[in-house]
Amino acid sequence: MITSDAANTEIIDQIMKPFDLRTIEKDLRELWKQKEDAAEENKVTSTRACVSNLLIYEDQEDEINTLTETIIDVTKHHPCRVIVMSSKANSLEDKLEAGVSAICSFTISQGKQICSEQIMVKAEGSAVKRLSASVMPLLVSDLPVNLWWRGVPVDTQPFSGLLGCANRVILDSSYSTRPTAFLSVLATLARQRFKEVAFSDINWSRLTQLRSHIAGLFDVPDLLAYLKDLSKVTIEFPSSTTDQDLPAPQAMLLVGWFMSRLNWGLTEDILRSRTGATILKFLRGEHEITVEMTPSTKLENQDLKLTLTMADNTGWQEARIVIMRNYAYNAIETKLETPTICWLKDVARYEMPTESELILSELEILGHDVIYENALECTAQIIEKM
Amino acid sequence: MTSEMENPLREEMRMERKAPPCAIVIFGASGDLNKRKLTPALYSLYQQHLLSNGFAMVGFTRTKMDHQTFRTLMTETTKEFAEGGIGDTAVWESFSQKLFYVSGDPNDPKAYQELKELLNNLDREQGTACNRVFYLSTPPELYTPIVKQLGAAGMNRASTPDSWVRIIIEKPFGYDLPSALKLNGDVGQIFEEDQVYRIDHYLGKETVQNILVFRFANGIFEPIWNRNFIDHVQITAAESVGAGDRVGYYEASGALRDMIQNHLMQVFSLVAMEPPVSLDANAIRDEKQKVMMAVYPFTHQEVPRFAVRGQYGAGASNGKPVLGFREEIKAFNAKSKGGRHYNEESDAPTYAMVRLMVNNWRWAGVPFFIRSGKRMPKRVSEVAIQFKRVPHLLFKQTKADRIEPNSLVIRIQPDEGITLKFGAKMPGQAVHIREVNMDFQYGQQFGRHSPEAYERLLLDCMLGDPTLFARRDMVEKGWELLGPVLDIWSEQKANFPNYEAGSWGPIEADEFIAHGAPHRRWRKP
Repeated sequence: MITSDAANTEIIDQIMKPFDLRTIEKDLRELWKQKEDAAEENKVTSTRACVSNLLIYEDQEDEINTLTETIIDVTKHHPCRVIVMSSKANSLEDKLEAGVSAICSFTISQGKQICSEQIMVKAEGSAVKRLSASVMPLLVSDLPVNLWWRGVPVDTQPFSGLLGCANRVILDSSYSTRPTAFLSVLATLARQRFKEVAFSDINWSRLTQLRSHIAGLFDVPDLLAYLKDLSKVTIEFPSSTTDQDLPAPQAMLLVGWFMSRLNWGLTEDILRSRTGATILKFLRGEHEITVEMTPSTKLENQDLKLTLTMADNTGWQEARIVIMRNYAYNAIETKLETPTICWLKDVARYEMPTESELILSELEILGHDVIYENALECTAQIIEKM
Repeated sequence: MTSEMENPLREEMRMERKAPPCAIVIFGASGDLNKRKLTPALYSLYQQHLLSNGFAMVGFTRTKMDHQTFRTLMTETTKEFAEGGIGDTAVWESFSQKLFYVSGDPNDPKAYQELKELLNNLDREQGTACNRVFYLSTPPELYTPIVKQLGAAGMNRASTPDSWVRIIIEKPFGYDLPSALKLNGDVGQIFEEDQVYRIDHYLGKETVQNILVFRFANGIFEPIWNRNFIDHVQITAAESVGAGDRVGYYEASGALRDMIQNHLMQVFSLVAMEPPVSLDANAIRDEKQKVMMAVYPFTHQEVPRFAVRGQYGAGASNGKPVLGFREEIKAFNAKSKGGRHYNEESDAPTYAMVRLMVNNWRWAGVPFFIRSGKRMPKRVSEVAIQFKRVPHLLFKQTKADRIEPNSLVIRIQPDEGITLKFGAKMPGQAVHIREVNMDFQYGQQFGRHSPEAYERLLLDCMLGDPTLFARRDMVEKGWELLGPVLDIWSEQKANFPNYEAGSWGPIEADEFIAHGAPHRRWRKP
């Protein structure tokens, strides 16, 4: 079946069949033959391209269809062999099926069609345990293997098996209803498997624009001088973020980032207030820093609000920066007050990244993202004390 | 000079390099370059969040206007010339508030006092942190007066220990060696060399930068990147367009000055240089200069053995008949009536080709053929490394001259990419060999646009990275090497036109490359 969408993307699907490597290879060959014939007929130049393997695991079968658009977007910019896996472990059947498809998109500059291939593998019942071993021969050799695990990492098949063949594992801490546990597991995995695998959390990528904005504020030498005097960081997040009003994962990752970049040492001094705020104390040399992560019901259209307070040596001249990420207006708003710079309101454009943009940003990274891993490690230390 | 205090939150692989606070002053802001390239490039950087919050741009020209009129003008031109126009009007609105204007005569000291005051105000109001970039986008005859006035106003030096001042100079960096020495001398009296950024937009192109990566990040090419394996190298920059409305400029400069002395010499140096000791700007530029120093300096008498010139006559382009260069001048003169007239018997070369011989261990005996021409069959820029033939022909069924030697082609534009050509057995009972290509195309492997060359270079300058800018010694060496060609070509009358528009250049160039080596011929990319 050949279908085309409005965005100049063509998908050629073949039906699901019982899993058999030779059948898959044969179907792929047939698919390309079909594609070549169609291209000849339509006088379109098509090229099969592959720069990596992208394994996607989704345990909610309903979600598979919603993935299609993301996969089209990803392959448009990052042509690769996509292997989509889904499983139904509680099924009584023992079934493993596969189907192949081609995803062809016109390139942005040259008007040529670039095609990626996708293999869908569905496992049911006890076949779930064989899933990782089954997909391994389907990987294109000598190319990086990225595993996008759309769920919570667990130490069982197929995650444990797939972990063994991946160079990068992409997770999303926003999926979890218990983000602290999720981040702890992730930090442990990142530590234990450091030599073989790099880990990514696309929830961290969601923070990139905000972090870049915060870093940009301190590019101004006048403000950079204040950074060493940072004495209090308040992070407010919508109270509905987590069931238990524990700090949202993005808030915790931000604190982990500050802690690792600014060399803060965590003290034993941790408080949970009645309002649900978590108050932590850090030390940098003799200098004490208070961090407060507070669920708030007062945030209007904002999903994160940071207040950085810096006190100079005399303790009476304070500088405050308030940064708010406003999703309704696609903006990051900043208010700033220092003894030399008056209130200044700056509004920078904030584009909420799409899922495919987040995945693409992960696929562009080769090897370890040390800044993230350090921030994650610090976050795990905080969680351990909480 | 860079700030001693580093921002610990900035060090990050995910965060794009972001410019520090600064004010950029564009002299000649009402000119084409600013309208078409500079403001759109700065706006694109702003859209990508790559400019600091403490950024301001100041336009400087003779025309009297206020900040708001300048902003309106830039709005119109950016709508027209920026890829994708201005996009989100709120973003443009916020960017345009960072645009300012000073009108004045470039020779008038008062104008510079006004500029100085404005810049000082911007430091306070916009947080530009006393950092300055002065961009000379004016006719070259104004370079020296502007530089001197900046010096006289004390704007050539940083006003605080942590701030910096840089100046960007557009090509041409002189017209020949004496004028280049004079310009560099004038600039050097006011600015230190590490403050001077001579911009060559060719170096901002992704594929040109990729030459370094290709050579030094891959283990398989560098061992064969020498005289033992390479027969010769061809560097081509061909354009399908003619001189058109730019006959005046072209009549005065010609292909050698316009393309070879600057752009293609830079490409040549990247292809031929030794590995640098680090990626430090000066380490790379030192190696580029070293290879320029190793180029055989041919004399005036030797010019015919090292260079060929050409000029297109009438022919066809894109299926349509087109005029020859001299006819274009005649047509221009006829249109211009009482205005400027150019020499209708001009000997300006619209095609130039030089052979460079590099006298070092790596390249001894390997010619580098560098050519550039207008009105060629297509627009293409590439570097082709032609390897030597196999030493012994094993496959008798294929005639020796039908087995092409391997070649590696780095395409700079369009269709940026790399192709390796090699022989493969054709399917069948007999052993017949056919050439096949192993192809890498940027557009296929990286589904995103490369940044515009000016975006990259402006950002580099703001970040204080001069790697992709031409250094004084290299500019001067380029003029010195090509000086004899310029002299002889200006002294001796040419037999023009000698190639048809829409062809690959004069027959003399074909004869030249094959002279003494009949297997060599120009690629027709």
